[in-house]
Amino acid sequence: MKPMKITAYMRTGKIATTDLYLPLDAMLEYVWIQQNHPELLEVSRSSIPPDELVVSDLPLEERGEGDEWYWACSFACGEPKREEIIYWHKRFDFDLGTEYIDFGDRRGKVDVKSGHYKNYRMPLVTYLVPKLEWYAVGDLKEVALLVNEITHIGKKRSQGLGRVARWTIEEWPEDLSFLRAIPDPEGDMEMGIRPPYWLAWQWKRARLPDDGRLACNYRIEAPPQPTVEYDYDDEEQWEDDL
Amino acid sequence: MNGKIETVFTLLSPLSHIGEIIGPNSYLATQDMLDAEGNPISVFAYSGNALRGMWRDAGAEYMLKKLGSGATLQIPLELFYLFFSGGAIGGDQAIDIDQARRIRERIPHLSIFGGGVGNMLLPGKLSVGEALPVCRELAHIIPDYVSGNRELSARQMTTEVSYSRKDDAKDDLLRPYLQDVDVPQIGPGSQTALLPDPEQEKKKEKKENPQQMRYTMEVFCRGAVLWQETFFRDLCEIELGAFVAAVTKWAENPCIGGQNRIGMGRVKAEMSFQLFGEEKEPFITVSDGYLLTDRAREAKSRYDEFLERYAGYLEENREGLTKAISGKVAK
Repeated sequence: MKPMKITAYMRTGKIATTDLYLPLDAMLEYVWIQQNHPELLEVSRSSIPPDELVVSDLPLEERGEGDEWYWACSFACGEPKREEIIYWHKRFDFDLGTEYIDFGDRRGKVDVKSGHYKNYRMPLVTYLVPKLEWYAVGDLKEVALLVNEITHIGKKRSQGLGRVARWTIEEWPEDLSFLRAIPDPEGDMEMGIRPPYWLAWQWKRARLPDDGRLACNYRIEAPPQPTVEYDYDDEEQWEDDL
Repeated sequence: MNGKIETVFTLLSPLSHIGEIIGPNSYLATQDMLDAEGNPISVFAYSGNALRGMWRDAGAEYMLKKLGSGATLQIPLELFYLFFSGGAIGGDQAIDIDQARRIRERIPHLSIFGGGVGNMLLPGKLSVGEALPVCRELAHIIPDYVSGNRELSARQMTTEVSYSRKDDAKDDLLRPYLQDVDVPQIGPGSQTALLPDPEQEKKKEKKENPQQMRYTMEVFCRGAVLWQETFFRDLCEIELGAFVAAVTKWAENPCIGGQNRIGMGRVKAEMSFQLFGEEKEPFITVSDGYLLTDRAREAKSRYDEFLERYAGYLEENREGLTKAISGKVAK
């Protein structure tokens, strides 16, 4: 088990995520489950009961004690260049509907403004990041095998977002795996400390280091604002100009 | 099998893919991306979601035509929504992995594109990326073997086309076909209607939406080349065949984007196939029909055989598809 740095070089740089935590151990666990328990990926779940939770055997060092254990693997580090909200759409296709729907005895009317068949214009928070880095302690070769299976990161991978162009993995002189959620009874929030991070019943009180290297802590510089020559909030100037 | 399918689209007619509408003018969708120096730039991209939806529709059509044995198989609204739009989550069906697996086995189309069944969300097996234009801004991203002009900016590959929508009601030649609302319609035995107040009529006319207008669309130019990647994971042969079938159905009218009714978005497509760790090979060519390589043809014929068997079952059991989804089909 050695400290290492893992880098993902992004294709277009577009990643869909709201928090930029992007824990690598969660992605490694996804690959591990793909390889060892593919049946669990047949269906997405919004919750997993404790007795059905499969704990992966990742080639990473385990840290913490008791139920507060976690993998020695950081959250994503990097410098997002821009935040952008994009939209994806879902709509009911009436042209195809007239050809293929058998309404039987029902009235042939579909409400696309509300209810089950509602059309959607869904906002999606995205970030533009050239590369993301993670720090971990583990078996470098084994981690490399898992990491190279990851083609996309973040949300909406089905729409091609979060495409990774290439990965590099290298030994690192320093152990920076602490750049993550660390269980702490004095911590300021309840959050996931190990995969699956979304699973609310295993959240713990934890703290996130206030470290600028973490992508989630990085402050994106606001784009330069155009020079305001006429301030029409100023009534006097407004009247003068008139 | 895990791998990817690369597609190179060549635009044979202008492409409309609206991102913003201001008044009667529409503008192309752009996305923030990184240039070769890692700086943000805004470039046109054809969304992966749009491509995915297009192939999903084509795949569902192919399946229903095939299952209908030549005729169109009509299906209940819920199933239509599931096959063509991915469905929605809701209802009382609990999470059942065995059931999810059976649905995937019986309906490969649903397995590859995914969908919501009851409370279950069946993730698809495809990741359909956006189509990126070969241009100066993205030359560092697009592989060298993809043809296209890398010297020209994407902004120089766009143009504006304007159209007029004519108000035929104001065409004197067509006037005889329009019922004249100014003349009261008096039937036998009915009361004489009051003549409309000319002042009120003028006001009403002003309030009406103008039918005649000039509108402009920003389009991506004919001849431009777009490069796209579709990743797949855990696909079986029949599921690959379902994807090939979707592409062949789409190839009957190979258009992307909007305004196809006025000839926009017509494309030629060259698809290549690559399993991870193996060499890339030609897969499908779409241009005035389609051309399949051996791998694509074999996968499609496996899917066709599967659908023919299923069509036989549906002949005897018209509720078969619904039952396959609801879990009532024999295990």
